[in-house]
Amino acid sequence: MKPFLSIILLVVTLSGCAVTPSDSHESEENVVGENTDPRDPLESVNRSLWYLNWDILDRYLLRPVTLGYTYIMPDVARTGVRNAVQNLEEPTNSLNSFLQGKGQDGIESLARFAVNSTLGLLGLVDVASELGLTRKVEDLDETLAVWGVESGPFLMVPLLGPNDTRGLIGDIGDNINLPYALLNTPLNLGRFVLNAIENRASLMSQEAQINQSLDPYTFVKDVYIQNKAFTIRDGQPPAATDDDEMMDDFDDFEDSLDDVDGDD
Amino acid sequence: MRVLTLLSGLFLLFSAAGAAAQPEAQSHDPYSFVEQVAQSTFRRIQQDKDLIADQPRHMRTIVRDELVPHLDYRFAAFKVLGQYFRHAPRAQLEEFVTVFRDYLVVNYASALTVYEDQSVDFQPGNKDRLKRFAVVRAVIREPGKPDIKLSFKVRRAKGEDNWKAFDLVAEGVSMIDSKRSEFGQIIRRGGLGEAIARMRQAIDRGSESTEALARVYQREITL
Repeated sequence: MKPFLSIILLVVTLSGCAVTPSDSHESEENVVGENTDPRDPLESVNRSLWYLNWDILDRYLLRPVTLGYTYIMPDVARTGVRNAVQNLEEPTNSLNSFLQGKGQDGIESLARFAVNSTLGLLGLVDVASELGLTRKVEDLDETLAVWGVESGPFLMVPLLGPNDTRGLIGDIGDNINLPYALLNTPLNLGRFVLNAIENRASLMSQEAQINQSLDPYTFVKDVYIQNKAFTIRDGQPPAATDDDEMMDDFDDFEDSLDDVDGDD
Repeated sequence: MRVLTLLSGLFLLFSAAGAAAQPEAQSHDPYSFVEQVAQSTFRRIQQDKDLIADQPRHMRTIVRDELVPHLDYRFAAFKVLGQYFRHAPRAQLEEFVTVFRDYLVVNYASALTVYEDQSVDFQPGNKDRLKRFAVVRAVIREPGKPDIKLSFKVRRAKGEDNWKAFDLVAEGVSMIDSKRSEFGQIIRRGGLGEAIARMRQAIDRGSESTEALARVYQREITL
């Protein structure tokens, strides 16, 4: 686990210089035309990479390959492959659950791995779910977040898509673990490619939304950041924020409008 | 592209909060209201399936009939604009709200194009302590795919009984927050006028994408 420890060291050092969203620009109000998003200091670079990812790599490579793959592969085979790939991630899920203090989840992930690797024919069949052991995905990114590491600047990574500094470190750290270390490079590559294809397939129905949004880059970035926060708190609802102050503002707003078309 | 799985929840960001023609679909219970409205929208989509396949634009009509009466799009516009409404001239604000409503219609219509009879479980809520806001939770279950958690945010205006939806949160991603981010950038750069112009463009483009998407879905094997 030595590489793992050096990752931890690296993270702790980096978290010292991570950018937090709470750095507010007091000048935000009187700077017309400036559009800095405090979560995204590298925006211009990220935008170019988004263009690369979506308008080139996705359009000409990932999307056609995904369509071809889903056309050729029968559902059963796809499910089997997906299960096997996900099964290989269980030890990582387990370790990260333990590191976040979720002992029960950690044990369940280990049990899933054991059951599916054996009874489930090296992971092809998800027997464990039938037994009531649900899949709990936990990665190093979430673990670091739980430990208090800030996300760092938003990054649009070539080929891999939206991420942030902490996430990138998490991905690297996770991949050094077993059982990936036991697999040879072609298998790891295959795992990576299959994940990418399956994710892209599940995205197919939302393409239109990305393309139709006023600013696809900002849309994808926002979705990433919000969903990341959601995943870290494991789907628990956030602190409620219905304020009466806001309602007074809304009354002002409504007063500024005539009745738009008689309804309401 | 891991984030993209979460976007699969996002489309259902738009598939709900409509209204049935039934006059009773309202009253003090936002939980059953949202459920009824969602179910009748889905029913209508199933009924009009052939018409939609023929003319993808029909989905917009469905959205206008079933959803818009129960969307508090003004409140949604207000939340999306954030601080920017203060300095905008009244006429421009009105224009914004009107175009925003149509923009929502196109968005919902295109998202709903991919609705395929998934089952949606609505979770009961506590009706006793409701004031003006409520959150209705639901889960979309499709065999072979992970569950998608939704929350509908609804509110009722002062002195009224009717609940209306203003936001949908799918897997933690709030439509309002996302739009606010997008619009915020645009407004900072080019003002409200720029935002309105872009919305109009998206509305016109929207019809093409919807039609293309419908054609693709007719031809392709289910993913």
